[in-house]
Amino acid sequence: MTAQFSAEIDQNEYLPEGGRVVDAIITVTAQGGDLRDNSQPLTAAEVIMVDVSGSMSMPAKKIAEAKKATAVAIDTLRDGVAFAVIAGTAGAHMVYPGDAKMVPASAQTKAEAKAAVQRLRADGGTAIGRWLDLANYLFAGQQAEVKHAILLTDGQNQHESPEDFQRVLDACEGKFVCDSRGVGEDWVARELRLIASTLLGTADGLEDPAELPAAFQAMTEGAMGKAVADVSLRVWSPAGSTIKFVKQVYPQVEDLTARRTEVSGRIGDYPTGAWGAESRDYHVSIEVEPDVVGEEVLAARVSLVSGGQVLTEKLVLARWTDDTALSTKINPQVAHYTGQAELAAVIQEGLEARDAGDIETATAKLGRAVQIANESGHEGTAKLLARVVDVVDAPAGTVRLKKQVSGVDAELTNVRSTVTVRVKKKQEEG
Amino acid sequence: MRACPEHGPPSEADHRFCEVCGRNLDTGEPPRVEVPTVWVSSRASGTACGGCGETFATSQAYCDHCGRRRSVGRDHAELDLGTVAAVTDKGRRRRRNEDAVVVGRSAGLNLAVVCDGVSTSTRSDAASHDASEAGLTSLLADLSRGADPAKATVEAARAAAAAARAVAEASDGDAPPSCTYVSGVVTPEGVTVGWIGDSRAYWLGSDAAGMTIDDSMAALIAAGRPLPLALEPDPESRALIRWLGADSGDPEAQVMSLRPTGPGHLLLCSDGLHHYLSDPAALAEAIAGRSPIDAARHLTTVALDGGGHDNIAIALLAFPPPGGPLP
Repeated sequence: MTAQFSAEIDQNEYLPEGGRVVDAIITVTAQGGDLRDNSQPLTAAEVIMVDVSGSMSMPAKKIAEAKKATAVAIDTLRDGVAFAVIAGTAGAHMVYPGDAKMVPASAQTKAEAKAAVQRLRADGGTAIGRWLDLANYLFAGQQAEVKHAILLTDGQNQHESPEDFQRVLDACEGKFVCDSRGVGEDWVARELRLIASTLLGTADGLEDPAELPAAFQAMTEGAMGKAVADVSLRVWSPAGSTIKFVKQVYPQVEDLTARRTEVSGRIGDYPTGAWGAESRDYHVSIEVEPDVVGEEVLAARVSLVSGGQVLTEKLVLARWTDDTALSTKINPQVAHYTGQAELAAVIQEGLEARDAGDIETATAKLGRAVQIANESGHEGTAKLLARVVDVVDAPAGTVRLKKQVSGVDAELTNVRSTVTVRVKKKQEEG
Repeated sequence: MRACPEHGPPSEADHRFCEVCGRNLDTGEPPRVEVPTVWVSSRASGTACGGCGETFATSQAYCDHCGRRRSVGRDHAELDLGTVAAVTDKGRRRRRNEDAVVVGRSAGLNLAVVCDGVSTSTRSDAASHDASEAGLTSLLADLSRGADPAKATVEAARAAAAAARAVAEASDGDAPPSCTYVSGVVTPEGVTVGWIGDSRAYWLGSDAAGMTIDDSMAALIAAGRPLPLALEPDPESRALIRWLGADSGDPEAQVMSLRPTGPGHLLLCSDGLHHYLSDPAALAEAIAGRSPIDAARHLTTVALDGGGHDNIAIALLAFPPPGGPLP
């Protein structure tokens, strides 16, 4: 019944004499075929939060597509999955069902919910924290193994303080997963990335409201396809070592270092949410006490665990050698993801500097971003960057900031800054 | 048809002893002493981690506390079965002991195997222990069925080679665990040794002599032996040209037997000893008057006092063996 998880390690285990830092990329894959054939779907609960602030009717296409998208998401729910629809303004109110609870999906409840969604009108402000707060309340009454929310907004979070918003996010952490999407011109990438980071979901912007139905369908299908809930990345590290960082690096960069839960003195768990048929990469960096040349040490034991069960486990080794041909070899995967993480950071820092009017820093950071995107073949990010800078020389990282940039282009570049690409495997063996 | 007066004919016509009581079917002589079949190995069990001193809670390959790879063998082990005994020591320079030694004894039999883990691969102690134990148990099984010692020696080396090969894992890359091999069989009729690599066997009696020729070009050229075709002759090279492990060509053991003219000892050792003391007469003199375990301890001290640059493994097998007739 259990899903088939497998893991692969990419690392250069050879360290020079006195070397301390061990980097490894762990690729975890949950097998599609096995997941579908052998495992029963998990019980699930789904909350859809639709922004109905006044701006959603400007143009009217936004609210129309949002309604259509919500209806598609409702249709995608498996029968029996508990669900609810919330309308978000400066407050939050139930669209379906009428009371603050969730109901099992059936032909009848789906039809009722879609009818209720059709009656929505755009009017009011935006306080995303209130929406999440109501979703959290609804999920608390559910026993489902997978608790998933979709959040759609078109504007910035004007009607609550950042502190209030953060408090709600902290309360929701670990309670449910939330994918958020921005539509229109005024959403803020930083807010959506914060939700995605804290609630282990994805964040993205949609350039055209017409993309909404497909996006809602994909997010709902993803949630319905989850086969293993509450999966943690478990890391054992030896006495005297320090964990420098633990990051998810594919499909997007997410620093998990501070999210550690101690299991024992040597073991910590990092949350990864629920898994369907998918593959993710993690970058673990550990500083170990050096040993003598010729010796070997276990620098980390990395496993995926769910409900106390180890799904897959891999060892990260360190071996000290005086053969510099071995110790100076940089693992291509480690190099690639180190670059992808830097890419995300320089895009965010560059856009922040640009907003702050620091042209010099913005030009340098975004130039570096163009250079890394070019080197790593990250075409999606390269195209987005070309909307905010004029590229003079991509390999050299020479750029000029564009004078006129539409707000949404900068936010799209920002929200997608953490999306990574994979390098083709096994290039190092020739 | 040879048969035991009490237990009838043996299961195989060429068996020299009755499987039930150990009577010599060639001479009709009954077994003189009851000698239980027993063997012991230098393999570690339930020991503390060499890196941090914590006791291993599990059988995992790495210490749960400090992550150091668990040593397969003991840093220092003394194996004493009376008429056959061994000592191994990690020496003064090496972090861990990658030599392995196994000794065994049965009616009319003293047995030992020494394997020296090759230090250029990381987990050679796993290869040396698996190979030496596979070799010794194969010898015990074949010889207790009455097999010919030379044939049993070749078969045991094959079993050891297969065991060493099986230790390799994908992560070992170009340097899978590997080791040398030398076995010694002492029967009432004589001594038989088999070897692959540069661990040695010496007959130490009134006519002391080296019984092995190291598998290096220098040793082969010095002994006037033909060289493998693939190699450029280099009279200086002491590098191994034959060994056990996944990257070896699975060589056959070379076998040498002799029939002693009087009592004495068969010595098996790794280069941790013969680097310091290799002259047969000097070795015989060093152990004169000592029991096998005392002799092994003394030679270990000689190697350590000489510098202990490498792991040391020494086995001494008394001739004649227990329960067998004197020649």
